Amino acid sequence: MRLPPGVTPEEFSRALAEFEQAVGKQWVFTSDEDVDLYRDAYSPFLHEAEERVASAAVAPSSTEEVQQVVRIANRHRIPLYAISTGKNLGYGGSAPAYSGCVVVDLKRMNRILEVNEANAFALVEPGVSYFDLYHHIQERNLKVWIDCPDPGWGSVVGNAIDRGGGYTSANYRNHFDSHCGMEVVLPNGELLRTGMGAIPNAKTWQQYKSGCGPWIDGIFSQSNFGIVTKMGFWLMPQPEAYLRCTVSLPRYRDLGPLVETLNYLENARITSGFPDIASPLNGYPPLGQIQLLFENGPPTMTEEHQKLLSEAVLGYSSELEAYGLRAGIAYWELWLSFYGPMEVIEAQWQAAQRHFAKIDGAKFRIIDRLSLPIDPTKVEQYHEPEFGVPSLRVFSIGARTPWNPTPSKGHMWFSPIIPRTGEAIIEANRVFSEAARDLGMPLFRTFTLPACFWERSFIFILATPVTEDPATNKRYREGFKKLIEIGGRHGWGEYRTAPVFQKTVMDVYSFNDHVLRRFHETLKDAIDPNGILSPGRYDIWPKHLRGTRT
Amino acid sequence: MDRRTFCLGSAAVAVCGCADGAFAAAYPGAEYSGAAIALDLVLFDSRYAECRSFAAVAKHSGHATVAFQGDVTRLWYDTLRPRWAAGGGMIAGMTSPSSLFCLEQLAKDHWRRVVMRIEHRRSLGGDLVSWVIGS
Repeated sequence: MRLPPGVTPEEFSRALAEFEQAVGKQWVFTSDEDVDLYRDAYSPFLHEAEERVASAAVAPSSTEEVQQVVRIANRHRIPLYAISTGKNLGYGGSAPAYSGCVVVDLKRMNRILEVNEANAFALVEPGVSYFDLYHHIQERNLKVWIDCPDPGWGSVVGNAIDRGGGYTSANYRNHFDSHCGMEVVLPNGELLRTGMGAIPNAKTWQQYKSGCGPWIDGIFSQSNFGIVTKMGFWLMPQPEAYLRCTVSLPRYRDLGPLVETLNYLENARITSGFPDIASPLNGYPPLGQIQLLFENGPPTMTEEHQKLLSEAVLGYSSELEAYGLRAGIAYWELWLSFYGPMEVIEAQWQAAQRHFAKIDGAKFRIIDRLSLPIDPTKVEQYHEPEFGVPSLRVFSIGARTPWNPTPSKGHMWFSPIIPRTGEAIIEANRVFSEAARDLGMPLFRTFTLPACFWERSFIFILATPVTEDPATNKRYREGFKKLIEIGGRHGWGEYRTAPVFQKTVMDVYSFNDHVLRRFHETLKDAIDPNGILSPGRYDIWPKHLRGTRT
Repeated sequence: MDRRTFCLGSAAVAVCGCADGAFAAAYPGAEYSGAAIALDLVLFDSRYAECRSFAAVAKHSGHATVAFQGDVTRLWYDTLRPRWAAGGGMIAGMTSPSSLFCLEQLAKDHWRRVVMRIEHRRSLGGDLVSWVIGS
């Protein structure tokens, strides 16, 4: 039997027996083959003793059972690690931040408590996946869309409290921002409802976010202050039509004006779909099309183009630009999408063109003009998540193909947030490409473009491979940490990270002698004095484990 | 039958046969259908000739087969998800490793796991894997 650190076999056996009483014997897992299901499938410690693993798992089916589990853990000082469905691969999966925790697996709590079509919201438990919610809506022919990440197999609640993002309209892409109301089991087993849910028999729990007084929902995301057992989400009313268009720009210097114009159009809500910046001249596809590159192979290029590209610095040379102008290959291509009544989105596209036409040489093209809902049998022709349809197709990216002869065993997402300017894109490429080269990291080898999930900031999302070779993985982990530190020195921070990097990332958030961390741990001491809940998650450690900070 | 077809047929017999025989002994609680264990489905990636041969052998042995092409989304959504939610039994298949990876992760949601895995190295076009997912 595996044991949590510092817990005797006798004490652990007593706790397990109480867990069994609380949730049923068949829902407490202690055998290696059962507990191994909770290993991180993309662990950066593949084949290494340092891999973070659970001691056991317990799967409650209700909020009341979660409360009992938490109270038992307090009595026996058993560290817990709550997961929804544990699908955040590349950010830690279902494995605990602190080895030896008992995983509290919430996927049996998979009830969709309400989907309100008239006011476009849902209330769900943490075991509800995007596929589940999508299916529920389709089965009832409700006229609302979900916003899902890609892949869409994870938990709606889990992704939101890990602050994941999606691909539809800006109001819904930030999954934590689009939530409204939580139910949380606190570390002492008490039940809390946030926002309007604090009113008994609340009538607007999923309609008004903040209630009255301090709005505390944020402290239950990327943290260890409670176990979220219900969460409300605003849904997108099913749009009438969809328009996807591109703006092509011919010169390197156009990147700045492209971003400035995009920012204005987004912030003014003239465009709200997922914007996607590509560089045909640099051979860099839009994010929404990247799986096609892996399925069908990279775009064909002339030898001259390849040679010029290999000689370009930060994606630029005057010769490359001249080649692009001569061959009619755009330096930059912005993919814009619009949702709404056709007459409205056509007008929005007209307005967008008017703004981009101020950039010399801008060219415009409509890629798709669709009436919605889209035929479900045809949605696979598109990037499904942009239509609120969960998919697993993105895994073709990892497949072994002639152009990807040595697929990795997983990856660690390197995902710093940078300002939304063209200058920041170039500066981040300069800093990270130099650092990655010096560190031998397989990132930023070519000019790299960020993604536009969030309004008002860019995010790079780059996969650092996990390999079969522990020495290579160790070198990549160390390099990854250095890149985080280098980013921090330039004022850029990660938005989310796997447990192995959480200390390094939170070290970057160091304003005023790490007052943010000290505040987090002051809260931790106050509401979880026994330190039983997810110790170490996002580098928030209970007092008795602070010396073990890793 | 050439050597290649024979080997792939052997893989199907190994996977489905083990599910039918030796695997059944290891999992005495599983449901039996006569002398053979009930395999709910045999999945195969119809893009690959090897997988089609594998499925042909499985079908000849009386197993229901389902074809897909790389992406497991529809297979998951239309076929496996409702079956596993309702209980369902073991499945076997021959696919790319990335398709199996997806199925393995999805299986975890139903407390199922890959209980047998045979890797087939190929010099061109990516490796394949035959497997059984049980509980």
